[in-house]
Amino acid sequence: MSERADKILDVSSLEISFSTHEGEIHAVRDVSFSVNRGEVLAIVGESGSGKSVTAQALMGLTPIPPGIVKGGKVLLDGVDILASDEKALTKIRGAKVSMIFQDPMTSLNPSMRIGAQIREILHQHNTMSRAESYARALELLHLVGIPEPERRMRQYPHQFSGGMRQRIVIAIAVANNPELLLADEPTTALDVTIQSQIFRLIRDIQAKFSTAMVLITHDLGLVAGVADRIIVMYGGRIVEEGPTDQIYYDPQHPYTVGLLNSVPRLADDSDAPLRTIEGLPPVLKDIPDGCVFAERCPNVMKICRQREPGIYHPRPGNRAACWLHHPDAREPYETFLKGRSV
Amino acid sequence: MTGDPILKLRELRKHFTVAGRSLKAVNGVSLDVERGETFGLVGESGCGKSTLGRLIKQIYTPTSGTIHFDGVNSTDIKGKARRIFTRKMQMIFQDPYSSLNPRMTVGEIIGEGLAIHNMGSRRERVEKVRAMMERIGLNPEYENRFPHEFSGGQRQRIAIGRALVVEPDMVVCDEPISALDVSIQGQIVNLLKSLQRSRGLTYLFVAHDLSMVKYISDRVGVMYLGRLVEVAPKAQLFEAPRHPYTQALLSSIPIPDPSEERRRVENPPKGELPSPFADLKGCPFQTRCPHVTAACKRMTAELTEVGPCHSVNCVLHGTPTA
Repeated sequence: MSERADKILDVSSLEISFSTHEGEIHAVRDVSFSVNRGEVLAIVGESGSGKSVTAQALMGLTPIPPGIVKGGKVLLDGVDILASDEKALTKIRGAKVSMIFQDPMTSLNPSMRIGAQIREILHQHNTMSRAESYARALELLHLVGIPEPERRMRQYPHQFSGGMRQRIVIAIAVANNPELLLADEPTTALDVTIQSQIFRLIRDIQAKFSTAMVLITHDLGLVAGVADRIIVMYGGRIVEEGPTDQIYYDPQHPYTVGLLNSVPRLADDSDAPLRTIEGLPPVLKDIPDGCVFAERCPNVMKICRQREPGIYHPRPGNRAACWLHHPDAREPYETFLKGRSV
Repeated sequence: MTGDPILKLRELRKHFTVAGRSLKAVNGVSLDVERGETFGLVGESGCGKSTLGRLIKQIYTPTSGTIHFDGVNSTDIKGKARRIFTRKMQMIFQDPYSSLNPRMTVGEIIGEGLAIHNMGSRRERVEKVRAMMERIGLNPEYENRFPHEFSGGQRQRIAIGRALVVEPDMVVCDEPISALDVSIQGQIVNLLKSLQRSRGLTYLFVAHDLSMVKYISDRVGVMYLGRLVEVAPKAQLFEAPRHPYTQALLSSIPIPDPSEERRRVENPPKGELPSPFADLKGCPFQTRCPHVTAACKRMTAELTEVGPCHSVNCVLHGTPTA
């Protein structure tokens, strides 16, 4: 197989804005990345980083208006999602790509039985008899660990707990063996013990069918054991991308370092103040010249406020949008490396 | 427990009646909180941790049991004593969007308590508000702005300022950082810690984020279905948890370190939380516990000491049966 065909998803120069009464909000700026078949990519960022807007665009779900896709391409298995009409998208969604949303309360239809909701997606994309779809729905409920599936099929969403509902959402998402699974904060609404069970389920299903997956989250703890690669977004941009271990053990962008330091470690008994990122996230209305993180960056240099940094590759498989990697910034880079240790 | 408890809870219960059935949100909690400590209260949704916080602040009246704050039975106070209680016991809520009056300016929000409690002259109050804004990291020039002009983290700072300006002895913090972004959470926790040091405050810190609770607390209590199942100094609780539920809960926490996370052995409690209406006799965890025995159905709500300041409600560790 050629290298092109190995990519299930290829996003290039994606630009998305929202027009609001306060002016245009540049939610996603010049975002490019790709996902290989069978790979798990995590996109990590805080609110306003553009991670969820990016996820919406991957499914062709950007709300237009107020959203404006200003440019870029989203190639899903070679098909440009952004150039496809609604009819074509309906065929792709739920078949080639599906999404697990954050809130299992709102992503299921409250007035439809669970069985009917699963079979609806099966019938929509396949020619199947009713008996076949029934058997497949049972199999899916079994796969996601719902006990007594025959009885549960006839029940409505409100008769399930939050964790069970998210299992059903996962069953629907994988019903048609998608090639790409998008999960936008799939466990944020759940309790910690349920969270770990759901995460393990997603991980098992991903491994079993080697589905490619894009996992959107704000929690670096959650993805450490699952992701192959991590993208860190800030202020609508990708600030760093790299293999999981490199991002955690050898981060190359000051924001990634700040994010890692903001979370206390359970294993850490220190009482020292948390090393937080000072200041506030940017308002994406008036984008300042220079780097979007310059305002809060502990390693800020003069150039950072003047010109936007280029993309550097300081480590294998890594890219970082940061002036510290410019050849002329050797000394500040050394200081950054030294001050980085957690 | 030695020392000087500022808060004493005894056999505290709060039962809500929902559609004719009784929901036992807090079901027999006894606890001492020492002056100047941070007591972390953890548990999953529905365990009763927020209800307990609200009982302590007297937002709810207990169904039975007693609360002694500073030596006074706070469940039964009126008039002046009540006013003193409401000043000395403050609360910070989870959602800084709904907990601040959108029609009041920041100065009015922070200063309202001072006016209610007649603290100082009008001029002194204005000064106090400005000093407090400075202390919590807000520019005092913003005193005439409204809450919507601030970010979530800044609003939570305003809520902290409002709680602390009246010089309380104790603050109930009900998930004060859960609604905030990761990089902002640390700022707020650092602020809470530094205020505690400079003012000798006692905190009851209710949260579900266990790593943050471990960081901020001196002692931690774990709740499950309305009961305290384990109480211990944080080091003991996190390193040597005794109650099967605490063990399951701790094993579920993801670790932000790839190689440790890949090695982590998960041991989540089997099955689901029973209905809060279910009238379970004995141990609340019996339906999911891997070590369940016949004795669990007869267990009392008593906390049994298993080590210095470490107590557990579990028959495995000697809790008596009825």
